Amino acid sequence: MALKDVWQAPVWQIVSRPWLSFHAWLRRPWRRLPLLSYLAILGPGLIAANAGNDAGGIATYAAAGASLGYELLWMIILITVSLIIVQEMCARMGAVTGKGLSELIREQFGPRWTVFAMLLLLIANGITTMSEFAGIAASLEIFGVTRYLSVPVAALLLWWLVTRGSYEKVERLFLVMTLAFFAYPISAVLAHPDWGAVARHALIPSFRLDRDYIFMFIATVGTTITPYMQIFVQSSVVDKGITVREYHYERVDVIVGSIFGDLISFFIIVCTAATLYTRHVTIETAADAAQALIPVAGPYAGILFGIGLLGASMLAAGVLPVATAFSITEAFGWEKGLSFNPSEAPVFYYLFTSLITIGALITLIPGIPLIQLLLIVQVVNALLLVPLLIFIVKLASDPEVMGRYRNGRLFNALAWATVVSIGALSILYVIVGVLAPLLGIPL
Amino acid sequence: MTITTRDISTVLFYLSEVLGVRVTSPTGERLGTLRDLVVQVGTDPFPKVKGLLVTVGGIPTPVYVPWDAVATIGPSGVQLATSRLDLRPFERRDGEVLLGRDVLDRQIVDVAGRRVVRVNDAQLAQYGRVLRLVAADVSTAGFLARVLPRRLIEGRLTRKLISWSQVEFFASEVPQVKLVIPHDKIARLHPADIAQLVEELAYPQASEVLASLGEPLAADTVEELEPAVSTAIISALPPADAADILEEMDPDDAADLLGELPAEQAEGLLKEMAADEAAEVQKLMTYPEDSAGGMMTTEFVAMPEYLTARQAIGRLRQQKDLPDQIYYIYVVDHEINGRLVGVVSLRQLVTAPPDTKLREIMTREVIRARPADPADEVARTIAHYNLLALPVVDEDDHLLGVVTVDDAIDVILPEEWQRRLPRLFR
Repeated sequence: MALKDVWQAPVWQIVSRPWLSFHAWLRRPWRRLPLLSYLAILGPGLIAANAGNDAGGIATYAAAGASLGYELLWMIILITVSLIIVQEMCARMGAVTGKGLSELIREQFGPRWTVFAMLLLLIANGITTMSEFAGIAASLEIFGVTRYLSVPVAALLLWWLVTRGSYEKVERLFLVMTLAFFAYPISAVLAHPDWGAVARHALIPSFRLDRDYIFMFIATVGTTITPYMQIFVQSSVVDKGITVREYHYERVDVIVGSIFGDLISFFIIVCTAATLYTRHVTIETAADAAQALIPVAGPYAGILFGIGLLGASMLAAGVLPVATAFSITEAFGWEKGLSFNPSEAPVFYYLFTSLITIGALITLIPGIPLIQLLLIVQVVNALLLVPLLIFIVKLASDPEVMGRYRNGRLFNALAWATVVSIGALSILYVIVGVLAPLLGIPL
Repeated sequence: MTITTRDISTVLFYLSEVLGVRVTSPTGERLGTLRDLVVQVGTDPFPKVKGLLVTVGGIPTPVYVPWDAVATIGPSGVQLATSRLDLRPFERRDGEVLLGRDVLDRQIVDVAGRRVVRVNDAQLAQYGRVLRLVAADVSTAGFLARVLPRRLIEGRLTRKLISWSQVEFFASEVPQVKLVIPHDKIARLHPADIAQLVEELAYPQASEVLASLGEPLAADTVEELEPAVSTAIISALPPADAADILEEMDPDDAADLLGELPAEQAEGLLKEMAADEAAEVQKLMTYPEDSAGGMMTTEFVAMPEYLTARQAIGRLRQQKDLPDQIYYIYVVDHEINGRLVGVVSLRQLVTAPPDTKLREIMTREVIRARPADPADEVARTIAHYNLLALPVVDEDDHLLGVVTVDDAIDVILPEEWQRRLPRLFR
């Protein structure tokens, strides 16, 4: 299989974090200028990592910094390790088998588990698509455009661009827009954070059995290790035609990519903690979140933030629906891809269109709080992540699938530790955040 | 129940209907549960079932029951001819495939339909004492039959079956056992069709197909593949096999492909290739991809101007490895190290009186390109002058290669359009 029917390389690879240009470049060392090599790795790497932060990511990290200060910094470091472990497994599976995750689930676990897994994926990606529309709405509200105009226009535009196959041409524009988020590290420095406190919170774990704290904690997990990202990583490895022989380059991609991506997340938290938390600003709207960029952009902070959020949201909103439709139709063996027309691949187009339509419609519900919506989506993503991770770890450690490239013993222990801790955290959240309030138990 | 009786002795049923049924002794006591069927896949168009896998008691590892020990099998259950079972855990043997584990849910090629499909269910036929795999069910109905409870769907499904004799299954799906599957059905297809199938397969299966084709056909197929697919296949094949295919390819296509691979791997493959082919490819690899040098092939026909038309045609007949396209014969002033002085089309050559010299019939104004010329300019020149090929020369007018119209189209047209163009122009 190949995703080329859906996508020519760039978007996939950028959205799935591994580093397209960095990778292509590493593979051809004879064309490399030795001196510039590190710079050339950093450039596209940073851009790609940055694009991995979609609307939900930006909103979550900003809210985490604004509401909890530096408190979550230690878990960003810890979760980077988990992210590397998970992405490495998916990339390795892609390189060893040449197959996508949904295909492997179908082949190894049979049709019933496939239906279950695809249902999870549909929900996770459906709500994430919705969160991208929430991002579009929130960003354009900064510029005074009502969501009742921005969301339908964006939905139609994206549908049209993707089905016409012209999305590729505009994705670069969206990508450039997300460069606005590089303002965060600069703004963080200019805001003169208490570096001592930053270091302390980054290195010494702390935990509170507090509903808001656990909510933010699990939202951060959900947005850092999103279900769709893992599927994309594997698909993009397959799509690039990477085999086990070239896999060692891809492994570097995954590790560097995860670290860069989370580095930006780290600085978003530092920045919002230093600017918003200290002044007790809670993030209710995108305009509130934009204030974190005042140290670097002054009166233009809102514009800068709006542009970045719009670019990130459009980037993901263009890829998610079509990729989800592809994964699901692939698992069931239906006709798929944009090279077919709607009458040839009805399920594919139906799924794709309804994901966009439903995602857009929900954000139009009058009075729905956009930022809250973005955060809740990340929490649900985290809850759905656990079963998906179990599939991933089981597949990656199966000798029949992976042969001698299966997880090593230590690696497998770490992988299961990740699954168990996220699982335990999810259960804790359901108890503290959902059941306790429902039953009226005070915490 | 979907048992159909075609004649007295043929009984048909689906794999999904028998997996999980009770296995009983000759006297009817329950012995265990049917978990899988073991078939011998290979040359037989309809593979024979060799035995069953049965779980006994609460033990999850199945035991093997040879087909001879089976009295009856069907959706209502399995009855054995013996109540004595060999309770040693089942171990896989070469040449054997588990129908449920290895065939269900896997991708196969429907050769007649020229597409890659997923096996949703399998149909079995018992004729006398022999049980065979006869068809793959690729319909959604087959999928639903395995998801929904049997009561809900009984008799309401329309299945779509593909005869197993029209199907290619892949040994690389079952790397645990050694399997030899000749892919002769795929080998009968056109290279462009094979390429389309190969692009839909995962690379281990794709390289299995390529390895089975034989070099000339494999080379034609690889030339049709997209770069991501062809590089994956070439790097998955044993280097010696990959080198054989690369030697058979057009040198420009081979150079493009090697240029996409990591340096050390490309060098390794060049070392495996025949020295002269490798040298040619290596020379092409030094030109940037998006230049005339990067686009050109070194396979062309050049002849000295003093030959007669008869002699020229004679040479064409004798030449062993004639390039695919010989619409133009380039005319040079000397046999060895000659400069380009003219061009004769194949049409001009065959219609000219046999004793006319090439210099008398050739067109002297030859449109030409330099190796460093940008690709889009070369493509536009070819389109503007309606050429089928454009010669590339060095500063002394020595012929280095030609850019053919198919490579020019790759530059100008989006990929979707290329697929719709007739074969001649690709």
